[in-house]
Order: sequence, then structure tokens, then C-alpha cells
Amino acid sequence: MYPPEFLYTKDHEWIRMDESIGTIGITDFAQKELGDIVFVELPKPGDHVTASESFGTVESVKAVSEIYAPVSGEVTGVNGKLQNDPELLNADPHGEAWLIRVEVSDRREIEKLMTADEYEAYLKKEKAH
Amino acid sequence: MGALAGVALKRTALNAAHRAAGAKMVEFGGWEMPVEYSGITQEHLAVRTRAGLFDVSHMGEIEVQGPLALPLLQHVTSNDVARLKNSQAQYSALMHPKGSAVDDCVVHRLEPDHYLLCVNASNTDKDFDWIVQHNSFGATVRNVSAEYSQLALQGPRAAEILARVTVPNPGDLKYYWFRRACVVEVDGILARTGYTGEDGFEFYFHPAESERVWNGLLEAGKPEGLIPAGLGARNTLRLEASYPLYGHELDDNTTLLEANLGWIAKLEKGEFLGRPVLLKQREQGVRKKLVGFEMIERGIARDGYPIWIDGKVAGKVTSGSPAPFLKKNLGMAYVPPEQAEVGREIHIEIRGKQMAARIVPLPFYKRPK
Repeated sequence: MYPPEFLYTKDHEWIRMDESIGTIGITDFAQKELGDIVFVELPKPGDHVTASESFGTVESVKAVSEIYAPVSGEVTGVNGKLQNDPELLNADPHGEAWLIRVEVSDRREIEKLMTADEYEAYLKKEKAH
Repeated sequence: MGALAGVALKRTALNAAHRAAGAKMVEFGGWEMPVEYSGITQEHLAVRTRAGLFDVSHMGEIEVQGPLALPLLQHVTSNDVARLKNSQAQYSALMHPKGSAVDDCVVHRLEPDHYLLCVNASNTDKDFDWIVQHNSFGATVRNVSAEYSQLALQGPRAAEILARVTVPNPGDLKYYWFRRACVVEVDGILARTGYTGEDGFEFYFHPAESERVWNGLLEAGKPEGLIPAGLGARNTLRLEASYPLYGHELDDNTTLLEANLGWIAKLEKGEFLGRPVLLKQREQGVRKKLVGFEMIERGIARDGYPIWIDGKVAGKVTSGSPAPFLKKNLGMAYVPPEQAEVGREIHIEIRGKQMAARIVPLPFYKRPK
């Protein structure tokens, strides 16, 4: 379910590292919790995002949810498809519906993130609450 | 997210059925209720184009009985109960002396001296206490909520689906009338009412029979594409239909006239709670007015977001959401009456940014006749 090559946050974002570039998205758990996604607001290329701070919002019919950056860095790419096709986030949250790419400025921040196994264990604990 | 533990929430008799159907459960008015099954958009569209089935057993029921039931109800509610015939229902408001609604409700006349009120779940105890407190008439008032499950079958195909499993055939039941009927071999009260803006029915019956009626209706409606629908779709449907929701458009500080509910405030019927305030407002005007707006700029207005008019905060959004059928981002809000005209451009503050919207006529959606 959760790709082993991704790293995860407690706020249900994922990041896939490719050299110094990190591709960021929200997890399948997050899209399911939100329900039908109808609107996505993202930063522009060149903007700076900061680890653990909100860099955008995802809205479903019933709720608004902030998206938090797993790491800090400069935005190098934004998934333009989501502007007109936000429901892609429900269909393929770990693939085609990535949100942004960033040039990671501090690789040590990556070490604080969870592996797929850790994230799944975390979800189990959350659900048990 | 989804943490329901720690609070003793009330459950309807269909709780297990909802979970088995994959519903996402949430807290609503002290109840654990299904917010969505297959998705709000799909459920909403099913109700607009085919049919949806809602468990609304959380709604409260209050019985008022006795020779002085009518004068008590005339005193505490705003609509004219004397106009009701047996088996007829009316939308009304339980009134506060300030001219505001303690709750909105549907009053059903069973007999000239016997009425059944359907009220909001979270207000049931408050409403019951309020009626009892104003019962100097000596009518018998009972909170009978635990004696009823309530299902709402809503949508253009509802009558057709219901007819298959209902005796007598519900087809000739008129809007806001009800009768004793047998649905999936269960006796109860069948009313042609609803909260979605579509044709539809609400069925009140013994909770022990809940799964039989729920499953029987879903089975009967399969050919028409009937699906279960949750509170999420119920909210977006009522917003498109521009029905007020207590705690959003209605509260202690909002009069019926301000809420566009003058049509249920029958000032000519004689004395009732809050009437003097409404009479005065009818002469002198209201302090604020409920309007509908649609977003012009890309953005979704949500409950509580500030409204800006002419560079000043003029109110806040009472209900805001994407509208799945109309495919617009809609909302309702109270604004100063002199700034409430249709066509006016206003701004909604969304995460610190002012986004343009326009006041439009209500209701947003009216079903084709």
C-alpha cells in the first residue's frame, strides 16, 4: 500500500527523494480521510517551503486541510494537473497526483521522517485511539 | 481525525449497518452518524438525479396531546397550527421571545388534539424543556424520540421505489401530508417531506425494525440506483436548496424575518412567543439579512469566514461549501440589510485573502416541476 521508497510525516504527507530533489504528496490515508477532493492550492516555483510548516491546502467537499512540508527547500516544480483535476488526488495520491518538487536545503531533515513500515504502524496506533 | 473514543455518543439502531456498508462515522449533535458512504459528491448527485436513503433517526420527536395541545402549540410555534388538517404537516419554528428560533421543526397533526413535532437532534432536550416550561395550558408533552427510527428516501425516483414496498401506494400523498403506511411490512408514519430540495418521503417507525426497512428499501431501489447517503450530502443538498440549519443560519440572535422565514411567522394568528419583536421589525426593518452568494474567484467559502463589503467586515459565512450539483462554490451569510441586494459584489476572506463573490437570489436550486 505505502511505497517503501517514500518517507512519511505524521501529518500524512510523503516525500520521494531523487538526488537533491524531493517530490511531495499526500498519503492514501489523507485522501480517504478528506473524501472527494475539489480544490488544491499550491505554492509557485521559486517559493520557499519550511519543514513542518503549511505550504498549501487541499479542500474536499466537507473540509479544508493544510499540507505541511516534510522538509525545507525551494519549490522547483508544481503539479499543474491538479488545478483542473483535483480529484486525481483521490484516484492516485502516491503517483500522478504529486503536489510539488523541492530542492532540499537540509538533508538532515529527511532523517526525522518515517519509513513506510513506521508510517503504517503509526496509522494503526492512530486508528486504535 | 475520526477520534470518537472518550465521548459517550448516542447511536441509531442502524449503526452496525452503516459500518458494514463502509460508512465514515462522525460525531454530530451528540450522535455517531454516517457522514458519507461512497462519497459526498456521488451521494449528492444520486439524490438529485435518482434517489438516496438517509438514516435520520437522530432527529427528535416530541408529542403534544390533550384538549389544550393546540393553544400550547400556537403559543410556542410561529406558524398557524390551526390551519392544519388531520394528516397534514407544516414547517415551523419553536419561538423565543426575542423573535428568534429556539429550533426549527415540522409539526404534524395526527388528531385535532394530538401533534407530533420533529426537531433537530442536538436540540431535542432543550426543545422539550422549552415546551414544558411554557406549558401553562396543561397539555401532555412527551419526548418520544427513543420510540422512533426515521429514514428519509429522497430523489426524483423516490416515489417509484417506495411504491414497490409500501401499502397503500404513496404516489398520491401530497407534499407536506402524511399517513399511516406499511413500508417493507413495517407500520409507521409516512410523510412527504424532506430536507434535500427533491421530492421524497420520511418514514417514522419502531427502532427494532430499522434494519428490515433500511435493507428492504435499498434492495427495492437497486434498479433505480438508490444508494445510502450520509450527513455530508444532506448538508450540501440542503445548502443548494437554501434551507436553514440550526446553529448556522438560525440561532438565539437571529429573528425569523432576518432568516427569510417570514413565511412561517403568521403574525395574524394571534399571540405567540416573539411576535411583538417580529411585528416591530416588520414596521421598522431588520438588523441583518440572510443572503446567498456564489464565489467569482477560485476559492471555497467555509462556515465562519469573514465577509467584506466596501472595505469593512460586514458579517460572516453561516454555511459555505462546494455545491456538487450546481458545480459552484456557494454560501449563505448575514449582511446589513442595506447591502443585501442581489448582484452586489462582496469579498470572502479565505486564509487571509479577499476573494470576490456575488450576492445571488435564493434558493440556489429549485427542482424542476
